[in-house]
Amino acid sequence: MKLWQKIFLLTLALVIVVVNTTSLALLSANHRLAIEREQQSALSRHSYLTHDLQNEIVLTQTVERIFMTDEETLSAASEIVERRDSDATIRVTLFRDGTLVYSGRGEPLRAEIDLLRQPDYTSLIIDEGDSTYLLIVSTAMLNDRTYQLVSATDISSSYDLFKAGFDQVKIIGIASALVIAGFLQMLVRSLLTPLRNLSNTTRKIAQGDLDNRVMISGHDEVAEVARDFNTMADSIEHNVTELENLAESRRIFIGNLAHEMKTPLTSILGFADILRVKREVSDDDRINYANVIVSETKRLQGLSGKLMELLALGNLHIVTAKTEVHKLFSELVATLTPIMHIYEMELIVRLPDRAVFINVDQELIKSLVFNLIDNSIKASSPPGSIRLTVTSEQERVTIMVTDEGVGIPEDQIPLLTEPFYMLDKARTRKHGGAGLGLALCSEIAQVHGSQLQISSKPGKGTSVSITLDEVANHD
Amino acid sequence: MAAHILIVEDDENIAHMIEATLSIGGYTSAVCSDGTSAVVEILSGAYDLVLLDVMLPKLDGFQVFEGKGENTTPVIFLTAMADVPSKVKGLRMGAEDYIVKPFEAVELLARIEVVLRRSHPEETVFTYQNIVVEVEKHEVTLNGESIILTPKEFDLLLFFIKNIDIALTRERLLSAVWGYSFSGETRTVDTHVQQIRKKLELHDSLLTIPRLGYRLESQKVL
Repeated sequence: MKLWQKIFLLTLALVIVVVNTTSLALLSANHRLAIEREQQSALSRHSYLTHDLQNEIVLTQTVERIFMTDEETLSAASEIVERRDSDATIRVTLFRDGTLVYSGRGEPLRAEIDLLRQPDYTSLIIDEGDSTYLLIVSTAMLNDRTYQLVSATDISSSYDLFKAGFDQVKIIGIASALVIAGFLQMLVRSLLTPLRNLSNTTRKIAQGDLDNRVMISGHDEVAEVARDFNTMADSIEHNVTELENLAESRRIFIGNLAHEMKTPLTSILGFADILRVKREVSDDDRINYANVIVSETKRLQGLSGKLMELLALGNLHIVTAKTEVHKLFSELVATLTPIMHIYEMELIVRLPDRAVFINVDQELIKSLVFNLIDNSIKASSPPGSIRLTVTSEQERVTIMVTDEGVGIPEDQIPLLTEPFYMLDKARTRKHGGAGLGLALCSEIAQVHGSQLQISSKPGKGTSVSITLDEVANHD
Repeated sequence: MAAHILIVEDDENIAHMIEATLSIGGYTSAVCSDGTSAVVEILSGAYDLVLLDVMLPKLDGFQVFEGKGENTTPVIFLTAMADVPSKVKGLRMGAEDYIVKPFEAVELLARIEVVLRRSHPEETVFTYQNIVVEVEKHEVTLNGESIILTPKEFDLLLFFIKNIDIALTRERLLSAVWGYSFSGETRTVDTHVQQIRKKLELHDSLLTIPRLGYRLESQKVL
């Protein structure tokens, strides 16, 4: 059974029981009160009648000084009773020594005779036919004889009132039950609507429609759950988007990689096949073809080397050590100088004039600077100069490589660190590059908790820098 | 007359390699390294066939294909993309063939020959020294005398004559003559080559190339 049905049925049953019990209790309390009132007035009337009867008989005897027989007494009493008994709702019966001597209307009932044994002013309610009577008994001394006087008051109207009231309660009960049922159903359903929305949204999200959210209204518990749910959906969507982006960038990476591998492979396979199948190959051609094969193979070798470095960066925990920049860069400059000579370029190195320590993986930082200088060489036309500057300011150390080369259009700068992105394909390829250098540098910066800063002006040159925290020398 | 072929390829080495391959097949060629000038070249109508790289600067290969409009010069796409959707795209656009890089020189020549044969009336008579092969009659004559060849020997001879001076591997011969689905042994090729040599007196010109295959040579180069 659904929750709304449970709440609906239980509440409805509770309301019906409470309403009906209350109205029944009220009704019967009223009825009891009415009966009591009837009883009071019947009793007072009865006792008045009894006294009246005694007084009148005594008065008659005293005034007329007549000796009255029992018959005369009875007829006098009857007269009085009949006079008083003009009210049709009361029927009076007189007994003398337990024997019926006068009856107002009709024969006395069994209950009336039984009542004679009860003490005075005992009242009894009996049903007779369609009517209900209140019987009261009292004893009166008339002319030295003991009479018992029984009055029966018709209180049917009170009972009829009660029955009519009961019928009304039944009708009102059913009607109110229907009204309450309708109202309650609407209420419960509207209260549970947010829950249904939540369930619908959950189902949609489960089917993969991740940007669905629950509408939140109010501040109740369901709204709270909905809010929590939305928070959860947000974070799931975020994670899924990230995963999708990751998968997409992997896909692009692999596509680019395949392309970058196939280009040299095409030349290699093609020329190798020509060398193998052609009948006569001139010496010139043979050397040309073999040169292409060698250079394209080197390109593949460089590509796989860079790939391995990228892969290692992604998997390894880097080992950082406190390193002094002069020591670090003097080794690097020694390696770079002969290369710079080959390209007819000058390397201008400027280091801080005091010892500065940074926490880095030496090999990675060397690789970063090497790659940046390599890029600068590719961008420059010899003869020219490339500056390697290390500055320390406010406990931040900046390593910067600046060239006066071709520069980079501003809109291309964000793309530079994408793997396989090449600003000038022909130029990059001529130098045996595969578009991985800056991607590698960017990864190295990231594992050191920093980022590559690239600024460039086309035609003027480019400068790339990375900023690291300086560490104090406590040794 | 040898076909004139346009090579649209931005990688210098690959373009050079394709040129060298085409010259083996006896074709003349010109190279064009970007999409925009490729469209201009194709529209000049000077070419019998276009070898079109898909990844190109300025316009990509598909755009070049659209750019040439109603021009009917047959096009073979050359691409590193081996995925089925781009293959289907290229062929649906109306390209004659779709060659995935990297490829062997002989394979490129074979695919070019198929395309050219489709777009030009086929040569039906081939001559090699004193041998004449008439394809339509399925007849081979040596010094005017008719020689009886089995259908496979006939196809094999024809393939050698079409690829004169090119060393052909046994695998290449198997796939060209027996079909790609043929899973026979390379020895089948050997026995057929021996039959052709014997029947057509080709002992001196249909040579065995060690560790490779066979080559039918034109006049001995001295």
